[in-house]
Amino acid sequence: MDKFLKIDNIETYYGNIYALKGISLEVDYQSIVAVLGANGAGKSTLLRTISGIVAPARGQIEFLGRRINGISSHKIVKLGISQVPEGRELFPELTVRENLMMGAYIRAGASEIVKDLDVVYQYFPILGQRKHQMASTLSGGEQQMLAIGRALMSRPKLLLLDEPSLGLAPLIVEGIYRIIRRINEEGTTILLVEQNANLALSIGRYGYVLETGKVSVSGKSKDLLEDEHVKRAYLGR
Amino acid sequence: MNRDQYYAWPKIILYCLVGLMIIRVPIFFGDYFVFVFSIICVYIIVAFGMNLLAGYSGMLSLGHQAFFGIGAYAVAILSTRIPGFPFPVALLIGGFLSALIGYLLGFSALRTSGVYLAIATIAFGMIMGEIFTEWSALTGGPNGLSVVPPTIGSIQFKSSVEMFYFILIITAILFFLGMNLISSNIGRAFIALRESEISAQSYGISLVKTKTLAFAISALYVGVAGGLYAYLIKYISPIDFSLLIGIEFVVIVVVGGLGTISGSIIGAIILFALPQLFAGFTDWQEMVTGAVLLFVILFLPEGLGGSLHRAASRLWASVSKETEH
Amino acid sequence: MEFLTEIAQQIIFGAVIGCVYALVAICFVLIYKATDIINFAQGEMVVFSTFISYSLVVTYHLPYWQVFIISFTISWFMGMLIESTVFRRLIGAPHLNALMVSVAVGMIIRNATGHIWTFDDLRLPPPFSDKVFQLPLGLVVSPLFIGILSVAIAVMVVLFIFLNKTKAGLSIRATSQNVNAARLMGVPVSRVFSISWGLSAGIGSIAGILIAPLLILNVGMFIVILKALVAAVLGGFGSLPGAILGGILLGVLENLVGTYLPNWVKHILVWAILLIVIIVMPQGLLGVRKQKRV
Repeated sequence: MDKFLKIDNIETYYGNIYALKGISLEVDYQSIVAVLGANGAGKSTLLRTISGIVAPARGQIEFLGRRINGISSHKIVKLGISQVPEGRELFPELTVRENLMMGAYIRAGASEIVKDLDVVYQYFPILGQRKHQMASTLSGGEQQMLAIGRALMSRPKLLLLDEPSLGLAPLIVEGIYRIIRRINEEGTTILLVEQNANLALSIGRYGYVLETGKVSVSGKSKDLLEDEHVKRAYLGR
Repeated sequence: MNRDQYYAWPKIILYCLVGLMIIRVPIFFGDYFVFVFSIICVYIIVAFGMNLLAGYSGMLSLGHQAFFGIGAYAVAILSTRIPGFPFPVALLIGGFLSALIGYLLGFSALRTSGVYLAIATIAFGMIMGEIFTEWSALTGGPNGLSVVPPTIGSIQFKSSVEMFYFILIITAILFFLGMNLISSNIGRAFIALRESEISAQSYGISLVKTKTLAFAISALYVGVAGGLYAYLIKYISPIDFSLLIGIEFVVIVVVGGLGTISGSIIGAIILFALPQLFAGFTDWQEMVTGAVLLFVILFLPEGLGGSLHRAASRLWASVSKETEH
Repeated sequence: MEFLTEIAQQIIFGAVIGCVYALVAICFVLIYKATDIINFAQGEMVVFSTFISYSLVVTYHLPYWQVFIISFTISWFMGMLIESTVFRRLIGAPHLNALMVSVAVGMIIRNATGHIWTFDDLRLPPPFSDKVFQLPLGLVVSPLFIGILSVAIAVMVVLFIFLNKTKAGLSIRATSQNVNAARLMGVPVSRVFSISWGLSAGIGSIAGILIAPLLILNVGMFIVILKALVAAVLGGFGSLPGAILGGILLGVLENLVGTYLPNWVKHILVWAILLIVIIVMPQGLLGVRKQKRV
């Protein structure tokens, strides 16, 4: 059986910077995989490479048995990979509902799309309350929820999350992570990038640690939580 | 010795040779070519002024035709109303009036930048254009004014050869003054402004002083050029100072190469040589100018002067490398 | 009482011209919102389209409703062509480059227009009858005024519906607010740019047909169109309602000033407004400087 997502030794340049220096990574069906690392380690570049915004200079990415490196970004969205980018990147002057509708851009079938709106409102009731408000008027936590909801609207098989906890209060982050777990339980595979290692490892089954463009450690989350190097560098213990 | 000194000697010799050739021009060429050379000198001064603002200080103005007009009208009005008015004074008045108004316009650069500043200068240029057209009592309205030849005391420069040397001397003076300016602290402040306003401020450069000064000096140059232009073509009217002229001024520096001296010269020559090549095709002139501008911006962003400069530097570097061993 | 009628009359006339300014201002804003470029060739593009309309009307004797459609379509493709050949290369380049490029393109189009047709003045027959008739209260209108108003308003309404109630319109608005996010959603961003330019050129062609009968049609008309840029700045660049407000306001102001004050004030007025707004209130009446992120 094909691997769900297989990343094989990719090297990516971000501008002139040699950002990814040979990364290999695997994601199993319906799992949550965490990617950790400090600022500049290459985490965002990794997600951008998977989403097709940047093409890798070398190496392969296979999604459900199909090679996706070098394919344009909107085709990758159509194949079922959706990203919640760092900093949310919402459409500030569109309403909540319009932002969500944009998430479904690549889909046809108006009635199905409208049903999915209700699914998102179920995950995030506050979005349902604010559906006609402009995105720029939402609070930080609400914006993060909207970003996630928008990504879900394309019915992705794989959801990429880039630092969902950034800039949010701990209580709100807890709530969001609970919903992320729920989304996973209902069938979506998740690749999660986080600086907050504790958080990421608490939710993921498997983890990879990136350091300056390379994978330094990987393993089952509970093993990583015990790993000395990881503990000292990322878990503050 | 450092790179600048290394290149200096050959440059000086080159300048002297070229200078000698230019002085001999009237001997080799007829009246018409003398006139052409004179106009090119005028545009070289314009290009220098535009370059100070756009090339070195990074601020684009599409309204500098107004200063061209102020200088020209000052000369026209003074020389016509007051017989025997000495030309240096007329030119200086035109120049300083331009500089003053340019200084005031420079304040607008403190509130805006980039495209918005360019639009503000367009508005300024259009307003001045209306003033030239409507203030008939002073400017002769749409019909314009004729200009008396440059006078000082009992000497009058009437022939085109005399005009040519007269303009050449002034061009040379302004040119060398300008070169000194660029290598001075003020010049460095201009360049710092272009590169990054924030860094410039952290070096203690006053944005207010520098921006207004850049506008004032560039206006001065273009104003003096306008005065010379008036003496040269002997008759001016508001059409000579329209938005299209202002665009041509920008074309000179963009095509020639922003921020390079050779660029100013090349740009001026091209802008004037082009219509000459197209004598008989003057109604295609605008299209050619537009096409050249388009081509240069898309494919040669450093302008012809810049590209030549780079090519020359590379050539020089490869030659000097060989001679080192 | 007569004085009030007089003023009302001038306001109406100013509003009619203002609606045309508003349409062209919308053209500027559409391109600016989508691509961050101020299209200084807009005026020349409108004039080119209007000359095409002139040929359709005077040489081919087509009825005006056909002229509107054909001219719109040709202009749409012209706009797309200009975008893909010239402006697509400028994405990511400094904005001043785009400014100078649009000026250059304008020069080329203006010269081409003169050569293809003529550099002389032409008169475009009005799309609606310009016979005047009296309304109660002593106001004078003509079918031309009503026609201009109706077409302009119709265009604005259709545009509003397109942008706010259709998926394509939503994707254009989204792209103008956040290009990166739009790409992530799978929006073919270059197609959005193309459509914005096409739409802008098309609307410009309609505006040209509406304004040409009120003035003389000639190659130098682009200066008049440049006033629409003032309207867009006044209303707030980046705001479509602002463009409409700015256009109508400018038209009314210009006309009132032209009627009661010496002519030279009217000529300077437009540019003085531009200068003052840019320096004192650059965001205009309704505009917000473009937000890029949330």
